[in-house]
Amino acid sequence: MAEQLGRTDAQRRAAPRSGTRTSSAPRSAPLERLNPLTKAAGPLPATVLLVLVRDLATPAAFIALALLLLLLGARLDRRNLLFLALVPAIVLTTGTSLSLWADPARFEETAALLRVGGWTLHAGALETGFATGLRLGAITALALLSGLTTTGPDVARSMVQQLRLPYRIGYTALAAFRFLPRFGHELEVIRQAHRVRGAHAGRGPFAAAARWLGTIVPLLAGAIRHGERVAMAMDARAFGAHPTRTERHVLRWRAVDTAAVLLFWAVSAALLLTVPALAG
Amino acid sequence: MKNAPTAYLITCAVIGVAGAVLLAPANWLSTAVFAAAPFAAVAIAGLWLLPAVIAMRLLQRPGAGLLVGLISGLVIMPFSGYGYMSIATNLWWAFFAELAFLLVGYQRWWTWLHYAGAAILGIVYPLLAWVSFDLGSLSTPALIGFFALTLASVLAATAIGILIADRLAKAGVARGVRPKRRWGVPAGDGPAGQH
Repeated sequence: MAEQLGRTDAQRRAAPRSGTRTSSAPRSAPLERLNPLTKAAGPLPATVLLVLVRDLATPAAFIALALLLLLLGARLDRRNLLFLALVPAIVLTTGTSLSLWADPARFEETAALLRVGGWTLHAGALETGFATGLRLGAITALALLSGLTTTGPDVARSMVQQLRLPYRIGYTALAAFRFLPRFGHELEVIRQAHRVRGAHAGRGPFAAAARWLGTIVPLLAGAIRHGERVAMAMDARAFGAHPTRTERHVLRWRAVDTAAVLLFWAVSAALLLTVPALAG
Repeated sequence: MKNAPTAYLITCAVIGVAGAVLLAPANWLSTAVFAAAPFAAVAIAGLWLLPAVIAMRLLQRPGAGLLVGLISGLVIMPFSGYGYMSIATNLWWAFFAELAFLLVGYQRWWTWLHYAGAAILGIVYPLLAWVSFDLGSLSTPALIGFFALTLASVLAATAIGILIADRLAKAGVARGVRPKRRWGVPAGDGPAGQH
């Protein structure tokens, strides 16, 4: 039991269970072992300051840093690799489209790169467009540090255990995760009922939209009624009767978490201060 | 919040989960559309406001919008990949569904207050997005489109949210959780027999 303490969801999932995994089963990745709050507190200052950055090199450096950390510290399964590939895709597409939407009059003095009829793509427009594209890519990459290595229930737990969020709210969030599969089932039942009655019949996008809209109110009504029954069951078990409660999964804030946050802040400050000057 | 009934908390959780189900595809749609035509992406921005508007209209309690925002942010995390940023984004949008009611001290629940909060968001969001998206570099028509679309989107989402909440209320949902007062009438001013 003692070794269960301080484990995050991702670690528990990676741990071998009842012999179904061999010894070659992946161990939990380094970033998954950190407290969920570490991965939010570390990148936060850099994320805020990146909004104000205007050059190309600084966001590019943060993208490199975040991708490097993710490649070393996150589990590299297919889903996570897909998310990593998303970052360059965001930079390229956003950078290109923003250069195209930019006001050509503002960049008339910079060199013309491309002429199509009366429209010209100026170097300045391309630079501004890609500065924004890289900035958004960097913010996404920093968010992925927590997004790819943390589960929602763990964030809810750490908000209760470290941030002192009232546990009734934290456990409400934990209950919310259990509603998701229930929603899918309920939606299927409502769709079948509508089909039997021939409601919103027909083909084409408008009939499909009407069908979709017709499920919202019954779905929510059914789910809220289910929620009320769950709440009654929780009340019957004296949920919230005491000011504190025991936790099944204890998450710890360790020395390594403090070190990771401080290190990330130091690296962020170093990058923000030196990169523009070096590139400059 | 400490004395909030469990049924109220769980009802917010349900609306939050419904919001997350709605926002999971919207999140990717908005990223894709933003990449192609930046100002057009805000056309669906109102969706982020929708769950909080439904909660505020249906439950009429302080904090309902923020709680829904927190929960939809937590539930959407595995689908968005944005981690804690999803929570911050959802809380930020939900805050504007609360703002107008916060300003009147949660004493009045007039319908127009929902629209007032949305209108504030419609003006504040493009101004804040100005810095992060470098809107100053866009051409004037694109800029006007950005402002107009944001405002239209949040107002439309508010109208839809109110419609859904009213139909839920009409269906008798969450009757035990909503305060016993008529729409827009502050507690105590209702007919005799109310508390």
